[in-house]
Amino acid sequence: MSIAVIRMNGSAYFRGKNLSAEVNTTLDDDISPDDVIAPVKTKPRAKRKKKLTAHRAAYLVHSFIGLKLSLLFTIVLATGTIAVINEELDWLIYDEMRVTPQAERLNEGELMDRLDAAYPNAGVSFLETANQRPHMAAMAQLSSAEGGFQKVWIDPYTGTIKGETDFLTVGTFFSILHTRLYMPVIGRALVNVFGVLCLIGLISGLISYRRFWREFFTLPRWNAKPRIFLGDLHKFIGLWSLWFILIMGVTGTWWFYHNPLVFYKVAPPVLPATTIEPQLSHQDLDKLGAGIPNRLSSADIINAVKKHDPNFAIQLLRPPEHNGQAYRVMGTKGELLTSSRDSSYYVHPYTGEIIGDRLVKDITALQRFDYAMVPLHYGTWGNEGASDLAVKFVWFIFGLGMTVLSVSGMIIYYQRTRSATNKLLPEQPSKRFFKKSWFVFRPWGGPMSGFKYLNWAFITVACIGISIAFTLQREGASGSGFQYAKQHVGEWTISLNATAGLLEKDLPPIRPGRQTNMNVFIHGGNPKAIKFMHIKARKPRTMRAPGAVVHGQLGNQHSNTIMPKKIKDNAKLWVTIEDWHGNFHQASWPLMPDGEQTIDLRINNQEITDNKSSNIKIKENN
Amino acid sequence: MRYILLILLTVLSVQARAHYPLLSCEFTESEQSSAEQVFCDAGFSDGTKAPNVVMEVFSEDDETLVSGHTDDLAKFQFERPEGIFFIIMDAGPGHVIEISDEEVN
Repeated sequence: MSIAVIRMNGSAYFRGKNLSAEVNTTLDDDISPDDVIAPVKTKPRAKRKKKLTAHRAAYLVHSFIGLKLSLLFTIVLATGTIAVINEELDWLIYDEMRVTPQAERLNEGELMDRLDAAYPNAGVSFLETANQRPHMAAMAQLSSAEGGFQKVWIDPYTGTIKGETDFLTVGTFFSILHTRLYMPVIGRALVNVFGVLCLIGLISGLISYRRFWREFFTLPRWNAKPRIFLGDLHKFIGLWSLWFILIMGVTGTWWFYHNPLVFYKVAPPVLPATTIEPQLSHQDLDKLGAGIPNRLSSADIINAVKKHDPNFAIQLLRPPEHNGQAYRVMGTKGELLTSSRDSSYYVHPYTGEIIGDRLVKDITALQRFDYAMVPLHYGTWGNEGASDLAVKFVWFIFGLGMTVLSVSGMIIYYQRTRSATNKLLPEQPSKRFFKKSWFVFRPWGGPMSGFKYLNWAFITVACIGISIAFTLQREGASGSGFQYAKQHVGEWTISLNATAGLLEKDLPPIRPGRQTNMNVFIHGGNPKAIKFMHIKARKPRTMRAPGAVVHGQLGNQHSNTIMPKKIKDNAKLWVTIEDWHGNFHQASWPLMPDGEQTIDLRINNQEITDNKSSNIKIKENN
Repeated sequence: MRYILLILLTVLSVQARAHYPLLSCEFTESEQSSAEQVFCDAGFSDGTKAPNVVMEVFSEDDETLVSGHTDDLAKFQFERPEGIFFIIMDAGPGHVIEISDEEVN
C-alpha cells in the first residue's frame, strides 16, 4: 500500500512505500523526513531500494537516538528545565523562604550561631547564606542520627527563624530527579549519557536537514495536518536551539567522560587528582594545650575570613565535623562562569587562623573549563539580580524547547505510522484489542522497539528510588540494624546503632569486609570534652589508630566503620574516646547480637538494657 | 548495596563532608630487588588522594620497621618485612588508619 500526503497548496507528495506486516519497524528504519516533504511525481513509485547517503544515515542516527530512550530522554529534559528555576519555584511555593529586604544583613556566622542555639541537637550541618538573593531566607540542613532530613530557613536581616520545610522541596525534588533520576550507582552516569545523545542528535540532525541554514525563517505551517505542523515545528525549534543544544551536549558529554568513563577507569583522567582539603595538623592541636579549648563562634570565623579577604562573597558555611577538620567557608570572588561557591577558605576553628584556601584564581585552565560546566549547563552564570533571572528565563525557554523536540519527535513517529498500523488491525473488536496490545508489548516495532523495556525498567527503578528518598527524608534508619546498649565510656554514656545503610533496614548491618554506618548517641557527659571518638570492630592495637573517627554535628554523629574480612564468634566492637587531657577511655560490646548488650532491632523490640561490659581507662605515657 | 547508601547519602546530604582514610596495599614483585615488595595506595573514601602523608610500618612488638611519606601520587612502597606487620597511614588528626599484613592483598 502507499500513503499519499496532500499539502495545502495542492501539490502532491508521495511516500511510495510498501508496508509489510512489520509496519512499525519498516517506518522507523526506512522513512526519512526528506521522503515526507520532498515533492515527487504524482505517479506512485514502485518499491525501490534507497541508497544510504550521508543525509539518510544521519537521519537514521537522529531517529535512533531520539526515539529509543525517548521516555527517559523526555523526563531528563523536562526535569532539567524545571531544575533551572528550582530556587524561584520553591520561593513561590514556600512562605518560609520569602523575606523582605532591609538595609543590612546580619553576619552570616551569627545566623549559624542562632541556629545552633535554637537546634542544639539537630545536627545543623551547613548554612547557605543566600547572599545573592535579597528576597530569600538563608537555609541550613537539619538531620539526626535516627534519620530524617529537614531544611530550616532564617531571615538574614533579622535573624528570625522562618520555619522548617522538607528537605525534598518541589525544586530540590526535580533537581535531584534531573541529576540522578533517584537511581543508585548509575543515575548520574545515565543522565550524562543523554548529554552525549544531545551532541550526536545535534550533529546528525543538521546533516540530515538539507540546507538547514536557509530555513531559519521558515515558519511552521500552522494550518497543515498535525504531523506536518509538528515536523515543521521540530525543525524550527531545533534550528533556533542549536547553540543551546550544543551547550547541553558539550557539558553533558564532558560529565559523561568523567562519569562513567573515568569513574569506571575506562578512560584516563584529564583533571588533576583531588587531594585532601586543608585541615588541622597534630601540632595545631598540640598547641591548644591540655584542657577543653574554647571553640570560636561561627560569627568569629566569618569575621576572620572577611578580615583576610574583604572581597570574598560568602555563600556557604560548613563547620568542622570533628576536631581535625577546619571550618570551611565557601564563596566567590566574582569570576566569570564559576559557581558561587567554587572558592573556599579553611579556618582554624579555635584560633581563627586561615590555614588554607582553594581559590578559583589558582586552578589550571582545564579545571577552570570544568568549573564552567555547571553554570553553563544550569544557566546560573547570571549570578544575581536581573541578569540571573534573565539568563534563567532564556535557559528555561530553550529547555522547554528541547523537551518539545523530544515529545514532538515521538508524536511525529506515532502519527506517521498510525494509519498504516490501523490497517493491519483486525476489524473484530476483541481481536483488534489484543493485536493492539501486542503491538504495545512486543519487543520490536514502535519508536522504542526493544528499548521500551529498558525505558520502563529505568523508570521503575527511578520510582522506587523516589519512594526510598521520601522514606529516608521522613524516617531515616530509625528502628533498624543492631542496637548497642548504653554504657559508660569514661565520663560519657554512649549507645550505638549499626545500620548497613540508611535505607537498608532489613539487611544485616555487620557484614565481613563491608562498611557499616555506626550512629553514635551521647546520653551523658560533656560532648565538648571529647577530642576524638573512634570505633573499631576489634580491640585497637595502638591508641594512635584506634579506628574510624566519629564525625558529624552534635545530634547526628556517626562513623563509617569497615568490618574485618573474617568476623570471629566472640568479636567485640570497641569505642575509644580521647579527651583533651590525653587520656583514652574504652568500652566494648559484643559485635554480633547477644540479646543483652547488642540487640538485633530487626527481629525483636527488646528493651535495651544497661550493659555491664568492660569500661577501662588507659592513660598513655606520652 | 553500600553503593545505594553512598548515592543516597550524596543525594540527601548534599553538603556532607564525611570522608575517611583508605589504605589499599598489595604484595608485588620488584624489578630492582628479589625481595617481595608491599605497594600501597593512600587516599580517602571520597576519591581524593593522600600525597605526602606519614606512613609507618610496625612489627608485632611495635618496633618501627619502615617510616616515610607517600609520594606525590599518594603511593608508598617498601620491602615486605618478616612475620606479622602493621601499616599506619597518618594523614592528620582524625585521619589515621592502620591495616595488618592480613589485609594486604
